[in-house]
Amino acid sequence: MTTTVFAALDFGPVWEMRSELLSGIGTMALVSVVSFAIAIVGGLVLAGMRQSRSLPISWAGFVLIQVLRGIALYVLLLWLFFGLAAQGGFQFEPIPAGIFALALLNSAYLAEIFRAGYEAVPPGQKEAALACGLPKRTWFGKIHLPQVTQITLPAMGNVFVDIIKDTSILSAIGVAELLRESQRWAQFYELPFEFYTAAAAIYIAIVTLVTFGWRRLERRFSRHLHTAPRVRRSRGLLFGIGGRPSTTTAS
Amino acid sequence: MVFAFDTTVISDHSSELLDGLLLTVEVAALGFAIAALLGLPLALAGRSQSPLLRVPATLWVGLARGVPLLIVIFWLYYAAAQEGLFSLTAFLAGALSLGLTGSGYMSEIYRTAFSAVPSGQREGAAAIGLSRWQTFRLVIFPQALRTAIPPGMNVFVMLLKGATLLSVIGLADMFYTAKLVAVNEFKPFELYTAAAVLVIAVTLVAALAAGVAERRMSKGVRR
Repeated sequence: MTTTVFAALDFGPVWEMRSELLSGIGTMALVSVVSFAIAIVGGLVLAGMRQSRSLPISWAGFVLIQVLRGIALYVLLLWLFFGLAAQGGFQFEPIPAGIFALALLNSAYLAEIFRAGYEAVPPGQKEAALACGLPKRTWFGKIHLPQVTQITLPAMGNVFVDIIKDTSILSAIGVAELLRESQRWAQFYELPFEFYTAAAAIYIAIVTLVTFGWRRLERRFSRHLHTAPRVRRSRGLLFGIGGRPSTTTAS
Repeated sequence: MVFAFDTTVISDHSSELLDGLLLTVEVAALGFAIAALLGLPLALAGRSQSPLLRVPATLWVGLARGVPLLIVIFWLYYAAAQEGLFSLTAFLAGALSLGLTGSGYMSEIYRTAFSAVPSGQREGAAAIGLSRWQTFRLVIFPQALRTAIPPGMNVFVMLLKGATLLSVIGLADMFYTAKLVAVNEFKPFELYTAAAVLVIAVTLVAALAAGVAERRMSKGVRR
């Protein structure tokens, strides 16, 4: 039975539709990079709100972060697209709406990462810098920021990978990214197995590439260190994913 | 924008909506159970000396964490059925895809938790003559589980959010119901808002519980 099952596989149409799938990958890349960039700005704003000395602002930041972390992307998209738009009698453009939703939800995760990174630098660094007579600006730019960057980069990479994977959910509102294209042609050719397997393989390849690229970036940002980077990793270079004991972006 | 919010359409259909919400929670819970059970042997295989165990486990974790959940759902529901491998109900396909995706994350969590147990514990257990299995069952595993619970709850929140996707394969969850009623009654805003608020409330409670658990754990074990 199994032999006949797999003999029927036909990946020809997948190859024929390569330019459509490629354009899906392009949309995915555009959406994920733009939403990641906006999410970084949003995350900085939210983290800044939480650090604020004014109690109402700091509380607003806290509540916003908690609420945004509880919202599922698909739920937000459906509400925006089918609820809010119907009420207002207008139509959202799929790509901007998708970018907005992705950036909004992920800014909350990034805010927590930035805050944790900011607090992870030992206070002695600041005391020593100021005791040496460095102005506060120099301390921040030359001492504090590089260390914060180096500490937060691995967790930021996880968020970026999550964003890339989550662009697949935008297919629900009609963004022509990789999954939407695969879905379209899977239905057209009636070959869901071939197209979804190909899509899964492409996602794995992209996630692996991004993970490796990101590690290079991490190494670059910790090149001034004589010791090994503080990021702990163990085995699991296969796929580039197994080796990082990360739980930060699990939700 | 006119904000005439009609609450009667929600109260009329509240029992159907809540049934749908329950279904989402159930499928997420079953998925989490699968993930928690699969994750443990995966983590142990990933720590194994033998590449025969280690390599497949690493591959599995890479696949589970690298492939988007929605693709796993489509793959298990449409692709496998087309090839005549197996055909699942929407509920089972959903629970299984959540379980498979979650197993990669759970395995990483167990792995971190195991390596967080101080090596003195293992040495101590060996010194008082416990066997390897006894050491694992009585000494290492209980301590690792403590560390694994808060991040494990985060995985549950992730799966709960993922479970909202399952209306795409026709699981009659809250959004599926909301869509049907919205089409019949021409009240999409009310229904989608109600559905969104309800499901967000559930994930928020779970996320807050995970946050509390995390803070408690980070206070450190009492000595």
